[in-house]
Amino acid sequence: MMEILLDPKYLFTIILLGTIVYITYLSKRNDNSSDFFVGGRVFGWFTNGSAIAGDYLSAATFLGLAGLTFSIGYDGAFYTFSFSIGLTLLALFVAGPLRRLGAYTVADFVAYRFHSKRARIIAVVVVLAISGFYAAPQLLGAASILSMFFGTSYEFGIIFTTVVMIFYVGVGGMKGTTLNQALELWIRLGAFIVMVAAAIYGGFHYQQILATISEFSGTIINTGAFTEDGKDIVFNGATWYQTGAFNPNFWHSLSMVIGLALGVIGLPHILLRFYTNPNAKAARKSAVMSIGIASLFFGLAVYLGVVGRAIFLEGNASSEVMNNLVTGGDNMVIPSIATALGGQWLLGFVIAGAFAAIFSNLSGLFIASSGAIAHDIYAKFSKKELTEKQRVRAAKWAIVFLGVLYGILGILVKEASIGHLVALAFTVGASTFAPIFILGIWWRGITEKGAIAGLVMGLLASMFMIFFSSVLPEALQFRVPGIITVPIGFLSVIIVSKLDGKVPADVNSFMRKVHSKEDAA
Amino acid sequence: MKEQEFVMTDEPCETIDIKKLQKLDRETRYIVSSEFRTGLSLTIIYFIFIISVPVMNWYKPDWAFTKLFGGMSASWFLTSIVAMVMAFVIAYVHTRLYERWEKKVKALTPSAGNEEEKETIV
Repeated sequence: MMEILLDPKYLFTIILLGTIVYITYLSKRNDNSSDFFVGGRVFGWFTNGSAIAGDYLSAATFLGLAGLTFSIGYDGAFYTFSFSIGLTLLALFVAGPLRRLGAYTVADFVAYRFHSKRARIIAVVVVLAISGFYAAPQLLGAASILSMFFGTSYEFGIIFTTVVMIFYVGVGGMKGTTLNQALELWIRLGAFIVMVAAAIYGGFHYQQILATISEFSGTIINTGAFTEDGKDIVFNGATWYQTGAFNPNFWHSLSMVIGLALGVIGLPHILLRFYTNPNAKAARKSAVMSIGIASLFFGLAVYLGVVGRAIFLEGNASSEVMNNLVTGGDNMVIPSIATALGGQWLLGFVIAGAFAAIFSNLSGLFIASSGAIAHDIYAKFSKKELTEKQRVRAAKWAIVFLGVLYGILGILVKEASIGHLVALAFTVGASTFAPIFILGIWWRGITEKGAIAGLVMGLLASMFMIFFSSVLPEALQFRVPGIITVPIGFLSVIIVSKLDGKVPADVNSFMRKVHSKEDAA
Repeated sequence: MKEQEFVMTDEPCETIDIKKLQKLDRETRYIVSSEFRTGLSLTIIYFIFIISVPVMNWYKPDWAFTKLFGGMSASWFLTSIVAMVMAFVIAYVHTRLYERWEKKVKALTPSAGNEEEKETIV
């Protein structure tokens, strides 16, 4: 028993879980819905900036981006580059005004801006769609890690992670979630920094390894033992070094940039975080802080993917590492590099980092979705006036319900691709909430009908392009279809609003509120 | 129709034809337009850089993937290093410009420090 507990992967994971329980216990007091949904709006830019980065850098980014760079080369780096744009746009156009509004949920913005219960219900549907598509791959990632490193079944992994999340978010609310997210961000960033230091110490200099990889052509030694046909893997470095492996032409690259960049503006769990700052100034500073952390993280992820490829091409790593790199898929690249560079201790740290990424991201999704159910639906459409305690209780029940729902989704997507599902969430966000938030904050001419049309058309277009695009000509089939769905979302809002022309009579007052000079005080 | 005060509620509010909508007051118009101009100009600079990367990759691949130092090509350098710095710099510059602008607004309009107004916003 003691031997198992001292195994680094168990040790680090137990320490992480223990810390989560402790922080959650300390922040269990949530007297009212402001405490539960927006943490009492007390978090300064450092804590909230860390939490935003923690929310944004999910398992798909912690494990996936380095894995993509490892397997598809430059296009993996380009994928990462596209992810890095969105938070900056959010800081420029949305963060400050959103905080000045001072609402509780993403759907609040839509409902208050247009004074529309219909718009609120549709916004809730979109929130649940985005959160579901985002949560399912996180659970898939968690269950896969548990299965790979702890030998548990896939179903156990889903149930375990869901139970941890129900406790974590249900007891801690936004306060506990924010503190845990901030801590978890530094755990996974710490894991990356230690890995990078070990790689540089091991002589993996960026330019040198890129040169070696780009000039490599032929078979990779010591890989035949792990392939199905028993032959060493053939690799062409020149192809890996250039674009084209993932995006077949310029328009695919552009579509990826549009979909992933604007997708961030439509992610409910990220938008929600800006409500937790005490004022708009802190919201903007939080955004800058999170962008700094995310940019560093993305840069390190690409470098580690290149290091992984260099280690693989050398063919001198242990058979466990070579086997994982051949058969483990993209998500095994970071754990494999950790084992190659620092042995079991670094692997243990990285596994804790991966769990931190999953917990952090999932908790944000749970909070955003529980707000959508308890605050936007139950509290708003309940016939009786609810007390603060009843609102908090409703949110806790919503979290249990979401745990069951996400758990079922997690089991259903067992065979799905994590990257594909995350791209779907980004596409829906970019085509629905991004137009509503950008135009709603900056254009007085947007009407209720325009907003509803934008949400509905954006959602339908995204679903069609992801699930049924095979019926379209090949030139219109995009892996990240932002180039088609985002203009549909924006144009639907603009055209229907222009045709309708009936704006809320308080729109000037709304503009004064969200663009006030409050920060100048 | 008279302009209404914004209240955070779902309850239906009267609507007004956009053509009959009063202009925003001068101060708010100035705040909105200067805030938007700052964001837009930084976005244009940022997106010229962002779009130039795929344009270069697909239409000038010889430039994009020629090795500059060691194995680092222009495209690898821009995509994996410069872009990350750029994302932060644009957001940081925006915040600094905003803070400078706030000071200017405060100097121009004494009501900027009005505590009562602040209370209604927070």
